[in-house]
Amino acid sequence: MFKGSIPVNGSSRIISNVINVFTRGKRTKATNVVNASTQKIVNQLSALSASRKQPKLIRLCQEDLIKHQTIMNAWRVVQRRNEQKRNNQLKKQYQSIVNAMEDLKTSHPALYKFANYKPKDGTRFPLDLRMPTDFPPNKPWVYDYVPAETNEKRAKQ
Amino acid sequence: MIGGLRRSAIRAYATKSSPIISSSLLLSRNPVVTADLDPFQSQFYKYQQELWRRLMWTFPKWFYFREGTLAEQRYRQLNRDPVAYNPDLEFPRGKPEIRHRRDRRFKQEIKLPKTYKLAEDLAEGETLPVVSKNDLARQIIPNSRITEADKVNDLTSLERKLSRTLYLIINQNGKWILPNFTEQSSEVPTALHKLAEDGLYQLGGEKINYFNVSNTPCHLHINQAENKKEFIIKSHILSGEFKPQDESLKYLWLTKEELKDKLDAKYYYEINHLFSDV
Repeated sequence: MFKGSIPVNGSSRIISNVINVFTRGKRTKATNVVNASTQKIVNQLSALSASRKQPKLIRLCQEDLIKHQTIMNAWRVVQRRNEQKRNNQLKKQYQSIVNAMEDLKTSHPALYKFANYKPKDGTRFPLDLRMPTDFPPNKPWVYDYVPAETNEKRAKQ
Repeated sequence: MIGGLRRSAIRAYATKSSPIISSSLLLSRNPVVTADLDPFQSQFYKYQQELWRRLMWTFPKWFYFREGTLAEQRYRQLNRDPVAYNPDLEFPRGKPEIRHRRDRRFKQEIKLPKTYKLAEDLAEGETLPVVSKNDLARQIIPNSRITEADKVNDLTSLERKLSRTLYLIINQNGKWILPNFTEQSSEVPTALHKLAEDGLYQLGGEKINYFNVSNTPCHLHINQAENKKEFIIKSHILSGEFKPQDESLKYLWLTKEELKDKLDAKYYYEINHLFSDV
């Protein structure tokens, strides 16, 4: 029976090939499929047209438009002025470092070497340095600081 | 004769001793709170905030509150629907355009249920319940940006003017200066930053947490009167108490503007670019 079925198998293979050719438009791989939960959100948000969720366009009259432009220009002028001020200050600071180092170089080469020394791992940024916040913490300043060395000494005693 | 003049000039120069090297410390307390806004800034930010709110999309209530739930009911109680358009009524400010319970013409103000009670929410005869400090549902009241030290104008406190950078100055012979340290023994030269660090400990005790910005001096001030070269080292105080070791030491923590009044005018003009405007 097995032997006899060989030609039959061969013909069925041909038939399946033909079928495959005819169903070429069918998508077999799952491409462009998003996460199920993402799809849910997309569905929910796209159920309503964007125009229904949007606010009305602001239509400014000529006078209000000029007001708006004046405000924005004023802001830009102030920003530019502040930036210039900051840059000038930075330039002055840099120049005074250069002056100090030039003087050290000629008058005290040993101190110049110390002042120019940079540790190989760079200056470590202190983790204790606090970022300014809008409102102060409950205790604005930490007074009970104990240096690490003192801690070690205490542990030994 | 010319040779004689030159010799005398050289001799005059040689008799003058070379200037003493010293290290000055520019110790700053960085701001604890953000910078104060000037009136223009605060007005501009308010304008931008209003524009942003006006142009914001409608709050997707249907996404956050499922229809028919208790939470949705509470939300609807707090946020009343705007008045819809009615052809029998007159609307002097224009026709309302309601989409999703929002008037498209204006910004949308959402009220969310509070976890605490305010005095104005209470009914008559009711009193505010006592809330413990650890209660997570309590109302959050931020700390004041003005501290006790500001109120009594304590210039020696590290807690004053939290929004500004403060600098340490000390009084020496009736003159306000940046703390200045001279090397005691000149056999082995000490690095300038080391000199300043040791000086700080001698001045204010060892319980100070500081961060030295760099080994490099940021300025050279030549003190003609004392024949001194003062190299300024920048440093930040991070925590700890500045406790003067010498009882008679007068010191102040001042902002840039206040330094202008205290320091010598010429000295201030020379070093004012080292101070921060914030």
